[in-house]
Parts: sequence; C-alpha cells; structure tokens
Amino acid sequence: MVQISDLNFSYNRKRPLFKDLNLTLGAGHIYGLLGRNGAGKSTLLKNIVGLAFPVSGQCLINGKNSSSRSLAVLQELYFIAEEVYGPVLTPAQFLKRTAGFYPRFSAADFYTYLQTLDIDERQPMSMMSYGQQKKTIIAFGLAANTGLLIMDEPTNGLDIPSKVTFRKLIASVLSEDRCIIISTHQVRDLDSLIDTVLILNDHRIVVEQSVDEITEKLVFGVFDDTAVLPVLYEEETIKGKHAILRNTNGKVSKMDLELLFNAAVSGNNNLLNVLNPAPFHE
Amino acid sequence: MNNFFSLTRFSRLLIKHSAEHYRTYLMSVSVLAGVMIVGGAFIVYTMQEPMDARIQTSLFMLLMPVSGCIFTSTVFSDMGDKRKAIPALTLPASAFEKYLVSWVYSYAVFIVVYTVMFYLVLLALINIRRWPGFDMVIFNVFQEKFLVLFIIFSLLHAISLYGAIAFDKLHFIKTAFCFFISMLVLILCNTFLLGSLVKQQVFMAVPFGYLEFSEHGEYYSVSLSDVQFNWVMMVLCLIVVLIWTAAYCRLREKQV
Repeated sequence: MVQISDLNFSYNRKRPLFKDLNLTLGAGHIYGLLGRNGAGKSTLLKNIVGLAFPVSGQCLINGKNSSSRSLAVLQELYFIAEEVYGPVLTPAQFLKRTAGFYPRFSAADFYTYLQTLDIDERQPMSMMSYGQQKKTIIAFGLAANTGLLIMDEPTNGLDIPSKVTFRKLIASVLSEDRCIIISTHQVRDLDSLIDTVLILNDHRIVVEQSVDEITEKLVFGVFDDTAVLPVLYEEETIKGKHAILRNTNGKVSKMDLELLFNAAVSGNNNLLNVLNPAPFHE
Repeated sequence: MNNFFSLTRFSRLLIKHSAEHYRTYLMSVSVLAGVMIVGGAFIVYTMQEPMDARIQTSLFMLLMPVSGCIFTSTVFSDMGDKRKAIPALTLPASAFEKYLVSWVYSYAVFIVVYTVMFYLVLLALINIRRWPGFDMVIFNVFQEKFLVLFIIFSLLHAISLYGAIAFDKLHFIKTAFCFFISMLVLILCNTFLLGSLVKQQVFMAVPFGYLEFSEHGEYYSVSLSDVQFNWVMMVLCLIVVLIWTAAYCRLREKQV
C-alpha cells in the first residue's frame, strides 16, 4: 500500500529531518507512528500523502508517486490532520458537497459514525467545538472507505469517552484491503488498538515491528528485583521496576507501549538490536 | 479517468466551493457596492455638472483593477491556512480543476459582477440629482478602448493570482510591494536601455510606452505606431497567459 524508499527530507539544509528512510506499510494493518515532539511524525505523514516533497527518494501509494497528487492517489487516501477545519456547512451538507469525490463513500456509514460519536448532523460544523469538528471529520474519513486512512494526533481534543469510542470505531473499520496509520505522542491512546508499532527517532524509523513480534522477543512486567534478569530497559516506579526483558523462554506478556517507546527513544541499543536482528545500531 | 480535467468533477468542485464561500463572496460584493455608492454619491453631489461618459469611464477603469486585485489576492487564502489547505489539496480533484474554480470566480465572475454592479449604481446615481438642460449619458463598455483596459486588468489579475498562491499571508500587500519594486526596477532598466540606444538623456520611460527626450531646447516624444501597439498588446496577452500558467504550476507544487 505505502512504500517509502531512501527518503531524505529537510526544512533546513543543515538539519535533515529524515535520512535514507525506508518503510513499507501494507493493507490490513493499523500502524501506530510514535515519536517525540519534533521528531517529524507529521512531516513523515505529509510526505506520504504528497503534501511535502522529499529532497530525494520517493513515497509511493499503490505504486504511484504521492507527490504527483494524481487522482488515483487522492481517491485512495484520506488524511485527517491534527488541526481540522469545519466549514459553514452542517455534516449533512458537507456530505452532500464532498462525498461525491470519493468513489467508495458510504453515506449510511457516515450517519452511523456520527451517531456513534454523538454528533448532531444538523449543526453547522463552524459552530461546533473543536472536539466535535474533529469527530465529524473522523466520521467522514472512515466513511470515505479509502484504502489508506492517515490520522495525525486524532485523539487530541477528544474527551475520554470519545477516545474510547474512537478506539472501538477504528478497530471495527479495519479490513483486509485497508491500511490505517495513526500518529500520536499520546502513546496510551493507541494501547490495544494498533497491531504494528513504528517509532521515529533520530531521523529514522528505529522500531518497525508488529505487536506479536515484539511480545515474542520481549517480556514486559513489573518486578521487585531485576538483578538476575535479562533486563533491556527499566523504569523505577512506586509499584516496583517496570522492565523490558529479553524473552528467552517464550513467555507471553502484554506489551507496555509507553515503556517500549521510552526505551526506544532513550537510545537503548540493546533493545533495538533485539528487535532488529540486522542491526544498524552499534 | 481523466487526470487533468473532468466537467463533472469541476462542476462538483465549483458547487462545493460556492457552498463553502458564498457568504464571504456576498460580503465582498456588498463592500464593493458600498464603495461605489458612497464614492459615487460624493462625486455626484460635489460636481457642478452631470457626470459625463469620460468621468464614468475613468471611474470604471480606476476601480476595476483595484477591487479586482484585492479580491483576487484572497481567492487562495485557504492555501495559507494549514487547516484549510490540507483538505483542499488532498481532495480528489485535479490541481487544474482547483485552480480553475478560483480563476473563474476571480476573473470571469468578477468582471461580470463588477460591470453589472457599476452600471446599476451609475443608473441610480445619475438619477438622484436633476440637471435641467443637460442630457444624461452613460458610457458604453463595449468599445475598443476597453479592450486595452481588460488586457491590463488581466495582467494585474494574473500577478495577483500568482501572489495569492505564492504568499501564505498578507497576499495583497506582499504582491503589491513586489509589483511596485519590480516596476521600479523595470522602468529604471528600460530608461537606461533607451538612453543607451538613442545616446541621449531620456525621461523615465515605462516599457513599451513613450520615448521622451529634449535636444537643443526641443522636446521630442516618440510613440509606437498602431501596428506596433497591437503587437505590444499581443505580447501582454502572452505574458498574462504565462503568469496564469505559472500560478497553476505554483498550486501544483504547493506544500503544507
């Protein structure tokens, strides 16, 4: 679905944001793109959808260069930016004026999602709160039924019940021919939702693993004492030591996304080498 | 699937654009009407005789480029706001269709609305004050001299449209600033070039305008022949098309 090859991008010649970045994303997955503030998550997404052009390298969507913004590319993607805009139209009017551009748009799905997200279809979007506007755009993006759905910080501005509903909705719309990419710095919002973790750090993707692969290789847990354990990363907490261990005996544990993220962006090469058998980390 | 232009898609885009922007456009029309009425009423009441065709033509020619350039500078303002630019650029329509919607509104629709409104306001104004003994005249916009006005307006429109895409904020001010600086440089270069050609100290000369100089106390003014003037107009038309094309290319390459 998405293929990024040798991507180099910079806003400033002296400070490249991505260096020879390669990434392949397939249909049937929900990818969680994580990274610190300023790591370049939004810029990577903009490169993918053709809103920012790489210095070299390319981003392909279904084999077509996204920077061309051709119809074949645009009809296949829906991008929900961090900051959304609500025009002076009600959701029903917005649907009437915009849905026609998306060949697989489902009006029935749109109204169902609006209802699920508790949005009044008769209220002008410009009069809605920021969270309501965002939920309307999310409902529209889901109903567009595009092969690629990209969301940049979708949970920003959503209240706690809406975040729960959002997670349920996303999980329900995933299909074999759909690829969903969610970027966030609020790691906990993606817990139990994504099936593949992408962590962006130091100009490149340092983790690109499915949750199953991660839990095959690593054990997450809280321990009183880790002195004799194969610890890769640990954090001291009131409950004990939250640690990531090398999984040497096929133990099954629930992935702690926040802990994994902290470990990856702290430059923990031992952990990164366990996750990436062909190490580029020293 | 035509990647460049589809009438169905263009119509859909035009309707969507109109639905989302009609309030702003109606407000712009109201402001234009207000300027015409207030300004026109002031002129009518301060004049000692009825407004003749020459004054009407001058007002028409003065207000059209000014209001047109201001309006055109705003047609791509969405592209300067990330919240609006992202859905606009990722909407499945071609860059040409997106460009054409703004072009139609800022050029074709503007010319029609401006002309109709000018005539309506003019008709109202010349009837609000009685001038016994004078015949009321109204200028005719379908004259040959207006062709020159439309070409110059087209040039200014093309420049404003390019500025509307090139700049993210303060489109009109930045475009006007660049335009005047460029004009100044162009006039200085042209004056220097003409001076070199005729080996004389020449007066400031606009490109393709008059060549004026003094020699032995005599004043000389050289102008283009009618044929040459027609060629200049054709060159200007070509420049207009080139700048419109450049504006389209700029939209295609727009990044957020």
